[in-house]
Amino acid sequence: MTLKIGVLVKQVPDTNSKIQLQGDQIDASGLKFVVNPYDEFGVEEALKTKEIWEKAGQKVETVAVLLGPKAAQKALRDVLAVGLDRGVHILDEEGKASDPKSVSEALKTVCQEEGFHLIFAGKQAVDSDSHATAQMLAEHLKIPHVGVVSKIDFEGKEMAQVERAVDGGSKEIFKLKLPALITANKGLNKMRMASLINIRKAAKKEVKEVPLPSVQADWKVRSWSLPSERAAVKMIEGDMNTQAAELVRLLKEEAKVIGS
Amino acid sequence: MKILILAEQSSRKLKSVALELLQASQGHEVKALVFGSQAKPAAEALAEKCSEVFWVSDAKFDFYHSEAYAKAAQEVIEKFSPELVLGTASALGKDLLPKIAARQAASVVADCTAVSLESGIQLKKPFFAGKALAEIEFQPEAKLKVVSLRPNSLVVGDLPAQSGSVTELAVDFDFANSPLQFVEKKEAKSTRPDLTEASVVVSGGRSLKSKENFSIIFELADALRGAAGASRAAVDEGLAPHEMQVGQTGKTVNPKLYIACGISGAIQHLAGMRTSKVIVAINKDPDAPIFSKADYGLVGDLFELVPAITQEIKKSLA
Repeated sequence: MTLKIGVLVKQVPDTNSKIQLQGDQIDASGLKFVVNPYDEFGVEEALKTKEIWEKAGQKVETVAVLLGPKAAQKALRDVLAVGLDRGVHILDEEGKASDPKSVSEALKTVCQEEGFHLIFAGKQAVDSDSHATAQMLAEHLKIPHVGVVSKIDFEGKEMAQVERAVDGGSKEIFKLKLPALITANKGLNKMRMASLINIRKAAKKEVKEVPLPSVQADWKVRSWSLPSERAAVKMIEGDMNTQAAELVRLLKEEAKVIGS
Repeated sequence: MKILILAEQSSRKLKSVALELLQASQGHEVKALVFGSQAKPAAEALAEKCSEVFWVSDAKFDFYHSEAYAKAAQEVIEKFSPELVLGTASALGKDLLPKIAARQAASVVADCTAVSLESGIQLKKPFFAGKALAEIEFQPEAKLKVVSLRPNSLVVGDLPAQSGSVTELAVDFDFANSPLQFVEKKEAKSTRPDLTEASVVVSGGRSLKSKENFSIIFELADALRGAAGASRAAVDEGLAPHEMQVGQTGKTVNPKLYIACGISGAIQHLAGMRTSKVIVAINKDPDAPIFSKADYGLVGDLFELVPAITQEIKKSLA
């Protein structure tokens, strides 16, 4: 029997993007879209896991799952070019799945049909920064999850020991019985480059488009604003010791953020 | 409105961010949930500021276990039927609140920087690591709302005293047969506060040039009893571990004072620290973009300036 590994992928604006508004909406015209950086770690881990299990004689298929408008399919092709086997695209042209609840419910439908043995996701998407959808999906699928994982050791195909980064640089270690979901943190791995052969192959790989299941979002964005700009910087001149003394005086007396 | 607060404790003390949750909930019927056999002082402190505290006192709950904690939260939600579950966007809150929400067929609004509960639920949530802010609108169908608040977002005033009760909650969870097994927690050796909760953060960039040179960043951070951070460039070059990274693919910080040392100010870095109340930039390049985002700027050699500032701070706080 083939074991299937699912990889959740989202297309997001590149982190070097400057966000601007067009009227009261985000202006998407100048934005460069990329695969969510944390999802790349999920992609690489799926490929590595497939290699390990196939060495042990297990047939494995890796499936990328993406929700978004048609234009977001580029992200799916990008991860197929890195080596995942095929893709499923849940089409949401109008952004109806606007919150973690609706997205996780839509993903649940696909993941249940696929019957994944293991699901990888990035720890968060760098656009909505909710770090929620993957855990909610795991709960909907009634499988355990560990989030923000920076180290995974498989014990066969049914058990994994994972290390999760928590506040203050501490780590929590868990054993996880599969099927399970793992969200990836920076430091887990580094995604391999797409080879020319794989890029060519990716164009022919299967991407199944499915309509957005009937889901209900609990919230949406009512209005956008940009963060307020700071007042002009106060430059502190003088020799090193004057600068240091003046800075400390200003932090104490003017900004009132230190002392007392 | 009935509000359930997910509170956290550390070293037998209530985490100060819990006070922000209480502050946000003023004027409502508030109960709180706290975990672990060490949490008695935290539970008692909470009971002075809300009507009832559910304390899961079983030592099996001393360490985070998403399935067990979710079961406990579920039991409290069924007992109390809150309209709002409010927690902190900490490692625990980020992981657990979505699970609690999903179990109740609810959603979650994560990492809010503004919460007002005076008329309905008004939330502001940063997107794109704070490059844009969204005002959130709930659908009328939404029943339970689950919200997490970014640490240091609210000013805590005098919270009116209450004489709430502490209810020890025995949660029947089958740890032995769970597909998730806690193995151990490796505590970080650092005595510095957590980056995301610190009220002072001192960060270093690539201009530090070596791991050893980061000691000047640590010394200034320690003098200010703050946390130490790093830019992505510094992390990518191996000068600092990635848990120190501040920015869009690292930690988002929200301190009172942020000191950027030798950081040019790439967009993705600014995104991770722009909500800091006061920003100080130290850079040898007077044209570095960081200066346009700072309140105070010092042009000079950071290897001289940073130790000089550390000395000044020590003198002034002595």
